[in-house]
This record gives sequence, C-alpha cells and structure tokens, in this order.
Amino acid sequence: MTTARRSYPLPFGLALLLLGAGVVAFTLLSLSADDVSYARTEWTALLSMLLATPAVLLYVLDRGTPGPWWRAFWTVGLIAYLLHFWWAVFRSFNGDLGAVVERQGWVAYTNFAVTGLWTLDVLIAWVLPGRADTLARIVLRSVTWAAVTASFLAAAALFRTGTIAQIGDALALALVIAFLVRVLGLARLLAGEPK
Amino acid sequence: MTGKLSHSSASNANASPTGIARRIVGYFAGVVGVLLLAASAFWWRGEAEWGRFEPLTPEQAFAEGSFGLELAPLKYILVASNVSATALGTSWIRRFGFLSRKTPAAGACEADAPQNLPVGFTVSNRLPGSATPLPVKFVGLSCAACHAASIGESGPILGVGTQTADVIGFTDAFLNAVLDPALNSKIILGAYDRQCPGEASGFRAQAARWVEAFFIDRWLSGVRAQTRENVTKYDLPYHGAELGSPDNIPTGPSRTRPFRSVVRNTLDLPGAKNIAYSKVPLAAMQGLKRWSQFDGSIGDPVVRSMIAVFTSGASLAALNEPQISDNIVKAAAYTLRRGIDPPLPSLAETFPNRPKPSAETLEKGHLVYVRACDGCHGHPNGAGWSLPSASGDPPSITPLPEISTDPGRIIFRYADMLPIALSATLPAADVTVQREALVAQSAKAIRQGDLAQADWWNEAIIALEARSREFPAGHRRAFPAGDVTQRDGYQNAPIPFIWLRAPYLHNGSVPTVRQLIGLDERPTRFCRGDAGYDPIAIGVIAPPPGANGCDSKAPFLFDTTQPGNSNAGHLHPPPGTVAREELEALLAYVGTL
Repeated sequence: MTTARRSYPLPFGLALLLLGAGVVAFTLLSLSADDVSYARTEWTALLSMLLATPAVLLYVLDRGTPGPWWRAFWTVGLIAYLLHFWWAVFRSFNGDLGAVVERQGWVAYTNFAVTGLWTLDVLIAWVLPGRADTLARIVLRSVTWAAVTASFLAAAALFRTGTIAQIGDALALALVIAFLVRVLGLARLLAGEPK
Repeated sequence: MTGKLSHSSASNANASPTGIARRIVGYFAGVVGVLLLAASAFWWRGEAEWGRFEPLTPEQAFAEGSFGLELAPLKYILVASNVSATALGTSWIRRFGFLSRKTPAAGACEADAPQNLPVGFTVSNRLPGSATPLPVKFVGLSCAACHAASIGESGPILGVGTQTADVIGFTDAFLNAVLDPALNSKIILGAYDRQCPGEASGFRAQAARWVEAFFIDRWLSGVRAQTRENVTKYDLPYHGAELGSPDNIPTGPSRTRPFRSVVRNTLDLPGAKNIAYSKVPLAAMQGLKRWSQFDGSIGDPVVRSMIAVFTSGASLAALNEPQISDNIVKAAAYTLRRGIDPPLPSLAETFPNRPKPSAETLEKGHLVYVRACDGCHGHPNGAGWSLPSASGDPPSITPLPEISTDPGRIIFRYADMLPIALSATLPAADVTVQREALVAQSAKAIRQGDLAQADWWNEAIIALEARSREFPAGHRRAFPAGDVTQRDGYQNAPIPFIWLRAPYLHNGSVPTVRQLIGLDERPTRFCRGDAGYDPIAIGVIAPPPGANGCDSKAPFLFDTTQPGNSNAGHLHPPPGTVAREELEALLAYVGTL
C-alpha cells in the first residue's frame, strides 16, 4: 500500500477534491440558512456520510485487503466527520462535553468511540500500511467499519426523517446489494467459476 | 480497482501514458482540494474575527450593542435617502422621528459610522436574520433606537421611551424600499462611490468590493423572499402618504404593537386584529420592581429584554449567539440601574427656566400625592422608592374593571396562549417540562372543545422537539414558563421620573400629566409627532387637529375613540374630590419625582 500511496495519487486526490468542494459548499450555502451553526453541524454529518459511503461499500465488495480507493474515501469521510464533531461539540453544545453526555446519554459514548476508532483506523492505514493483513489490523478495521456503518444508519435512517432518512435508506439498500454481490461472487468462486 | 495494487502492477500502470495522466489528474485534484479546504479555513478564521466577542459595558450594550436586529448593509443605509427616496423620503431620519446623534463633524461615509447614523442604529458585521459574521458591515437596531428621547435642549437621553419614533411606519417604508425592483448592489455601491469617492481603489479594496456586492445582492434577495413569504400574514407594507394614516398604521409615533409581533413571531398566527397598542416605556429604574411591563407580566428583566428583542424580529439563532445573548443580559442590567447610576436628568435641570414651585406648593402637592397616588405608586425614599408591593410576587395588580383604561393590551385573541408558547419557543437543555406544559395545553384545549387550538399545541410539541435538536445544549436565553404570565389588569408600579414617561397611560393616549390628573380635559383627538415637550403641563405637546387635520410638525392624528386608543380610566385623584388648587400643587409635586 506504501507503493500505492506514493505512486497512485488519483484516489486520494479526487477524494480531497470532493472533500474540499463539499466543505466550501456547506460553508457558503449555510450562510442562507436560518441557523448557520446548526446547518453546518447537520451538513458536515451528511458530507461525512456521503464521502465515506464509497469506502463503506468497497469494504464489503472487496475480498482482498482494502486498497487506495477505500483508504482515500475512508480518510476524507473521517475528516468531514471530525468537522461535524467539532461543530457539534463546540458550537451546538458550546464546548461542554458534559452537556453532550447529559443530552445523548449512552449514545454520546458510542459517538466518542466511533470518533476514536475511526481516527485510529485511518492513522494506521496511512502510517502502517504494511501491517494491513495482520489479525489485529483486520479486527480493528472490521470493528471500525461496523461501528461507523451502524452509526450512519442509525443517525440517518432510524433517527431522522425527510431527505436525510432517505439517504440513510439508500445507504442501507446499497449495503444489502453490496453484500449480495459479495456473497454471490464468493459462491461462484467456491463453485470454481471464473470471477 | 478496489483490490490491493501490487508493486509491479502499480509501477506498470504508472509508467503508461494513462498512468501518467492519472497521476497528473490525481495531484491536480488533490491540490485543488487542499486549496478549497484552505479557503474554507480562511473563511472560518474570518468569521471568528468578524464576530469576535467584545465584552461591552451595560451602557454600551444598551446603546450600541448588536441584538440580531440587523436591517441592511451600512453602505445602503448611508445612501438610502438617495437611492430609495421614493420609499423612504429624502430625510427619513427626521420623517420617522429617529434621533440624530448631533455629531455634525461626522461625514457620510463608512468610516464615520455610527456617528452618521441615528441614535440606536449600530454597526456590526452580522448578517440580518441569522446574525452570522460576515466581512460586510450591516446596520442594526439597539435598545436605544426606541428607548432614547431628546427633550428640550438636551441631547438624547438613554433609557427614556422615544417620544417621536414611528418604528412601524419606518418598517413598512423600509420594506417598500428593499422591494424596489431597481435596487441592487450596483445601484447602492455606485451611489456610495459618488458620495465617498476614492474608497474602492487598489486591488484589496476592489476584492472587498466584489465580496460586498455579492452579499448585498444576497441580502436583497433574502429580505425580498422573506417579505414575500410573510405577506399573507403581515400584508403588503404601506407606502408614501399611507404611512401616516392612522387608518393604516394606527400606532403612530412613540407606540408599537408588541403583542401583534408576539402573536406573529411566537404563534405564527396573524395579528392584524390585535389592538394592544403600547407606548414605548421608560426603560430606566426597572430595578424598583420585581415584575416588569405595564401589566406586570414578565418576572425576569433579562427575559423581558430578550422578548423585546425577539418581538422586534431577532431570530432564535441570533439570540443564541454569545455576543448577542451577552448584550441582552447587559442591556437588562442597564435598565435596572439607569436613573440611579448613571442618573437621569430632572425636569428642573432640563428646563431651568421653568418657574420653580414654592416649598409650600410642593408640600401641599405631596399631601395630595400621599392621599391619591401613594397607595398604588409609592413614593421616593432617598435614592430609591418605597412601594413594598413592587417587589411582591405576584405583583399588585389593579384589575381592568377597576382601572378602566383601554383593555386592548390585556384582552386579545391568543393572550392566554402566549406565556406557555413563548416559554416553549426557546428550548431548555431538558425540554421535559416544556413538553409537558404543551401537552397540558393541548389536553385543556380538547376539554374546552377547541380542537383547532389543540392541534396548534400538538404542532408546537413537534416544533419544540425540532428546536431542541437545533439547540441541544439548550438555548442560551431559555427561561422557565413562570417568568411570563397573563394578568387581568395593570401593575401598581413606582413612577420615578414621571416627567419622562409622557405620553401617559400604557397606550400613550393622554399627552400630559396635567390632563391625566384632571386639571385639563383629556383631549379626544390630538396630533402627535415632534412638536416638542411642555414642561409646564408636563408632557408632550400634542396640538388639536386643525380644519385640514394635523400639520407636518405633528402629523399623526391620535383619535381616542378608536379601538385600542381609549384615554378613559385611571381617574386619580377621582374627579371632584380634590380642589383645583390642590391639583395644581400635585402637578408641581409630581414634576419633582
């Protein structure tokens, strides 16, 4: 993966471009909102979900070790998520972590855990790419993927209504399709058919 | 594409022309992405700078603070008499009764603001509506726009209710101005450049001008869209001569329709029929009483100030801004001490040529005051005031049938809904109590058979939940429901600086104290505007209308026979119970309060 990072800049370049465009868009478009801080808190979450979705799906589809496209979108999704985290904690909650816990209860701890896990996962993906296939790394990556995906689905499809819920539903549907593709592909492989 | 690239395949791929193109595209996209992120970070840094928190003194907050009542870009306001002359007139400051700052040295350009703006017109970098910081200067209103008056030869006196400003007329004229299809950033900035030549030279200034033009156009488009959206509830604004007609805008100078605004802003219901006309009150010496407002309906001075700002049009997001929230707290604190520290001028100080009453007259007047007024209004006690009931909870109220003044402020549709609805408008950190209050209101409405109102309360519950998501830590200015309540009459309150409270009664229907206490007949029809102050009769000069109506000095015809304008009631001392000579002495005495 070190080779891929050094010699194959397209995935991360495009992901960065999408991230930059998304951040500029939410920064400027939110100026028309009734509540700019709230709009930014919401839209950064949406941006994170949209940017991370390719990585979430690639993780299901790909039978091998996740590649540069996964890492690129997994990384920019995290950056957007950290922006969301910053806006939520420091603007919506006025920097009061106690208020976050009081308001969200155990959900707050899962959010903190997701933030920590995802950050750790991305850091390791960049810093220790050579250990991508170790058991510990696979476990961490899988747990993080599951936590982030569950977090997205719960936050969008379960707890919200309207457009955001529809996006959550779309993500759920895409996941189901990705799983089917993966399972069918695996079945064909076991049956000895060509890929 | 999704699988791990092997070293060789990656190298081969990168060596091909396609691989090189991909590399170029990749690096280019990355660089552009980083630049976009840097630009965003630069903007956020700017927002922090433009909206930097400044701890103001209470007086600064009251007079110059931003309250989320930003109206328009500064450069537009500076050229409004020129580019919006049709809607505003060529001298809108005087036309609508705002006070000049009396700083003749101030020019007409941005650098001289706010000294070239009326009193209470402040400058901030906040976008009208959301109050988010921007690199463009906007003009907004502070408390002093309504709570300052120029009496006699004095300059503006902070904390005194305006005696001249026609805020509602101005608002309609302003909406007309911004709906002008010909108005745009090019017209505004062109007029400004002619007024202040040379400011837009150089690359930086030109770049700033592009940003300014962009936001002026965005502001115009936003305020127009909002006005159009509101038109079914607020109606089309009046214009030209219509603005001065009491048939169209019945409030006139020095009065507002606070409950029409609350009904619209809080309940999102039409308030056109609301006739709760109120004069802009003295916003000083508020620390003498526990409950504020003419009807003693608000128990916390910060809540009172916040509601005043909210009903004037500030959004919930703006009220939650740290600077604006702090300004409200400070301005409220100013109203508690204003009159004591800093002191207010006395009638004798302001009008030194006014004949000084003899000690004997004052003593006689004091005795009448003790007999006729002290029971409800108390009396001076050193630097303070003696009226034990003023600090009571609930306050002492004279019921409407007993005081018999105009009922419009107490009895109006939706009056019973407002306290709970107002409290539930600003979500607390934990909305359980607010939700339960709304649920109880819904159940009560169902019991009363008012299913439409029950539906309204049910929708209010949904709206509360949505706002709770918007302000998950609780809105900074959330308050308990008990801080606002409905009363069935008017509060018996202290009356220091009675000379600064003109015109009298809550609806300003009696121009002078002399008329109030029965020395002169209360006029049925009179003209209001900027005709001056009468230190002998103690009150505003309000001449009777002539054959052609009111003149330009006092153009607004106040007709006390119209709903909401009644000058009846508060017959104290009761007619016939006090000799005329004693009433003269009472007038002299209250002029010293």
